[in-house]
Amino acid sequence: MTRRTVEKPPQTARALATVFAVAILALLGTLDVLRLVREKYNAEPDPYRMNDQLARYRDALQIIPPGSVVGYFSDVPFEQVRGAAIFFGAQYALAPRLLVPLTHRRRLDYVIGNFAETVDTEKIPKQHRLTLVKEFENGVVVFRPQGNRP
Amino acid sequence: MIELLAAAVAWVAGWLLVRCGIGGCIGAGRAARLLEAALGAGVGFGLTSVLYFLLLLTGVASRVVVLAVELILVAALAALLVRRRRDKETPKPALQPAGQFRWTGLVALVVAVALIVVIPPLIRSFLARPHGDWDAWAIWNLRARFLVDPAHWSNAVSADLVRTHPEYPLLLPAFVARTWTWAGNTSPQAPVIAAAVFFLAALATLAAGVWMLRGPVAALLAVLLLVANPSFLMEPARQYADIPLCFYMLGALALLVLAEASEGASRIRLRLAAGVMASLAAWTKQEGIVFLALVLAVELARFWRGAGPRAAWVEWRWLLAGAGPGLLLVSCFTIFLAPATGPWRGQAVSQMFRKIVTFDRWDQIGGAFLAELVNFGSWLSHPVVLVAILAAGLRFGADPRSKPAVRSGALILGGMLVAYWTMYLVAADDLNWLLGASFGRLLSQLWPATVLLLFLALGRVEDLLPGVTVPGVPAAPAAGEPHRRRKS
Repeated sequence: MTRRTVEKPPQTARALATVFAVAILALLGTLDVLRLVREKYNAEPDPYRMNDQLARYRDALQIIPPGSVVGYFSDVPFEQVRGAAIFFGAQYALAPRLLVPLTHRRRLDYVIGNFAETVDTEKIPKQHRLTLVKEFENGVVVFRPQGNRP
Repeated sequence: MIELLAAAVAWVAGWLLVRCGIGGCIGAGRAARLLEAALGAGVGFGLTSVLYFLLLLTGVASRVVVLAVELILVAALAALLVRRRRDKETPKPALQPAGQFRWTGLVALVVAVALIVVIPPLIRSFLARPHGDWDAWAIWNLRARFLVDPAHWSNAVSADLVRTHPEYPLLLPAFVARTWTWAGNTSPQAPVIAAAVFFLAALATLAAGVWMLRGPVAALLAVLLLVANPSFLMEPARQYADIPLCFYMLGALALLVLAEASEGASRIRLRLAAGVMASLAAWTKQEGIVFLALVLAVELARFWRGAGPRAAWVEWRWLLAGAGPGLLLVSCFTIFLAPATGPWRGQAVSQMFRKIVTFDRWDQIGGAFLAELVNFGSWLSHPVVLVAILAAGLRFGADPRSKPAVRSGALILGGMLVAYWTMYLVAADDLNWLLGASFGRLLSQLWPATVLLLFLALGRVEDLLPGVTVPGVPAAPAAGEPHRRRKS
C-alpha cells in the first residue's frame, strides 16, 4: 500500500503570533512573581519567628532527654493561630521529644510551660501537680510531674 | 556544605540508576541527557529516603552505616553502568520529531530572561523563611527531626502527635533526615536543598519530556507556562511535599508517554521506570497513593480495552513490577506503622454519605475551585489565557504514537481532581478552613503534569511552518535520518 504525503499550506504568521504572544504574556507573568514575593516577604519575612522559637528552647533541651514525652501548656490557647504556631514551634524545637497537651492522658516525663506573660511559678505547679525544675528568662519553664518518674 | 555533598551523592546514585535503567531507551540527544539528570535527582532522593527508612527500621541507621551503604550503592551502580557501556549497547534514536523553528533562539532568550526574573525572588523567599511555611515545621521537617534520631524515630508516627499528620508517607522527611545524618546537624539547608532540587528537577523533567516528544519550541513554551505562574512558584520555598509529589507524578506520566512511543525492550524499561516514579509519588504523600492507584487502574483498563486480558497483563505487569517495591513499602507503612487517621477520621460511613449528598458542600467546594482557578495566575498571563492562545494558535493534534498514553494521562489527572473533590466532601475538618489551606496547593500539584499533557495534545509549532507534512502520514524522517526542510 502506498502512503501519500500531503503538503500543508504554511501558516508562519499564526505560528509566530502564537509563540510570541505566549512568550511575552508569560514574561509579564514572571513580574507578578516579583511583586508577590516582595509583598509576602517584605511585610512578614518570618511571621511565626521560627528562628527565635528554636533559640528559646535551646537551654530546655539540655534538661529534657531526647525521646521524652513532654506535656505542654501555655497562656496562649491552641485554638488561636498564635497559640497553635507557638505549640508547633515548641514541638519543632523539642523533637525528637514528643510534645503533648498537658491534658493528654499519656504518662509524661516532663512538662514544659510556654508563657507570653509573667507567670506565678508557685501557683502553677500546685494547680497542675508539678514540681518546678527550671524557669528560664524567656517565658519557658520546665516542670516534672509529681509522682511520675521517667 | 556537607548537605550539598549529601544531596549530590543521592543525585549521582539516582542518575546512575536511571542511566542503567533507561539509558539508551530515550535516545542520546541533549533532551534525553536532561531527562536522565532530572529523573536521577528524584530517583536518587527517593532511593536514599527509602534506604534510610529501612536502616531506621532495622536499627542500624548510624552516620557511618548510612554513608557506607550509600557509597557502596553508588560504586555498585557505577560498576554496573561501566559494564553496560562495555557491552556497547546501541542507543535508540531520538524520539524528537523533526522540523525547525527559526526563532527558537529568541524563545530561549525569553525563557532565560524569565528565569533571571524569577530565580532571585525564589532565593529570597528561601532565605526569608529557612524553616519553610507552616506545614514545613508542623509536619514535614518536624517529622524529619524525629527520623534523624535512630533511637526515637518512631515518634514520627506516634498517634500522640497533635494536629499534624503522622499517617503521611515519609519520602521527604526521611530524605531530609538522611541528609542531616550526613551533616551531623539539623540545619535548615537540607530541606531547602531538597525543595530547590525537586523544583528544578520538575522544571527540567517537563522541558526534557516535551522537548523529546514535541520539539524544543514546545519545551521552552512549557517552561514559560510554569515560571509565569506565581501560585506554583510560591510553593518551593514553603518546603511542603507538594513539589516533590508533582515532580514524581510528572515523571511517571512523561515515562508512560515515552514508553508508548517506544518499542520492545525500551518500552518495558520505560514502563518499569514509570512504575517506580508512581510508587515514589505514593511514598511522598497520600495524594500520591491515589495517583499510583489511578495509574495502575487506568493503564490496565486501557491495555485490556485495546488487546484483551492476556495481552493487557503482558503490557501492564512491567508497570506493576516497577511500582511493586514502593507499593509494598507504602502498604506496610500504612498497615503496620502509620496511625489510622486521615481526612475522614472518626466518622461513620453514614455521616460521610450524608456529607456527600449535602448540596451546600458541593456548592462550597465548587466556589472554592473557581476562586482558586481565578487566583491561579494574574489576568493577562493567567494559565487559562495562555492555554487558550496556544489552543487557538496550534490547535489540537497529538502524535498518533503517544495519543493513547496522553488520553490515559488526562484520565489520571481527571481522576485526581475527582479524588480531591471527594476528599473535601467527606473531610472531618472544617470545610472552609480545609479548602483555604489546601486547594491552591492541590492545583499546583497537578499543574506541571497538566502542562506536559497539554503540549503533547497540541499541534506542533513546526507543523505550521512551510515544508511540513500532515501528521498521520510519514511526515517525520526515518530514525537517524536528518530532516530536510524545503526552502520557502
